[in-house]
Amino acid sequence: MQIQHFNGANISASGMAAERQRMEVIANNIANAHSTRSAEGGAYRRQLLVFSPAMNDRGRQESANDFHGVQVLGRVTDHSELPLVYNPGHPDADPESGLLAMPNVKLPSEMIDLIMASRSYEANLKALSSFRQMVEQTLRLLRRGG
Amino acid sequence: MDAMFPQFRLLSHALDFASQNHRVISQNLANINTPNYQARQLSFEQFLDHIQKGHRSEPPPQYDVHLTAGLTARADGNNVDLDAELGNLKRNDLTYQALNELLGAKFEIMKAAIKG
Repeated sequence: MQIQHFNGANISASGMAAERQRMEVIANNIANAHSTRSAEGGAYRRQLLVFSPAMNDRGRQESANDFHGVQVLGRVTDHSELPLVYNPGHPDADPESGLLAMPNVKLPSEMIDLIMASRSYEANLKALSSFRQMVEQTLRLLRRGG
Repeated sequence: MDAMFPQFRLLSHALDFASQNHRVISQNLANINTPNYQARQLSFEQFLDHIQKGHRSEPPPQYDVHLTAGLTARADGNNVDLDAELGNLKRNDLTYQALNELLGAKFEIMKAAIKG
């Protein structure tokens, strides 16, 4: 099997792309923490990303060449219960009970996810910069030896 | 070539192991938020075995990847330890640099011998 040069960078890049996407979804959740009207009808529901390890065509992970980082399988909706707030003056509130369904976005947990995503992004960046160093150093051998 | 410069082969095998190791560590870091992902590692023993058995003249093999033992899984089933992986990354990086310096020094010696 051919050794794939410079592919170490792709692994870290896939991790960075996934974490960035996650940060975007979290930012969207936070921005819509009070949206009571959405395209699907009703209050906004929290969105989540599904991550999966990226494997080669045969789906094996037996040697380093079978590793291709992480992939985002898709975005799913959090179908947990929407909190109800008594707000009879609101146009989206239930006319009989006066209860308003709010989005199921919890700001503290979104902030924690955001910090996690940011730290994971940093870890991937570190791996990428150390890969760059490794390649640079090997290329320096050519310059010196030539 | 091999008879004259056995250390070139040895060093290049060691560099290859280090770069494969980097891939595995990068994979672990990329999947730090993937539910049910299990951390993996290469076995240094296999590399040592390969070197000691005198397979130096062959091209470097693809080393087997094993699940890292003794890790505690998080609530989502992922068991990647960020600090341990970053430590491994740095250690592997330094090993790679050291091997590269050695290889560079070998080249310098050869160059000096040719120039006289």
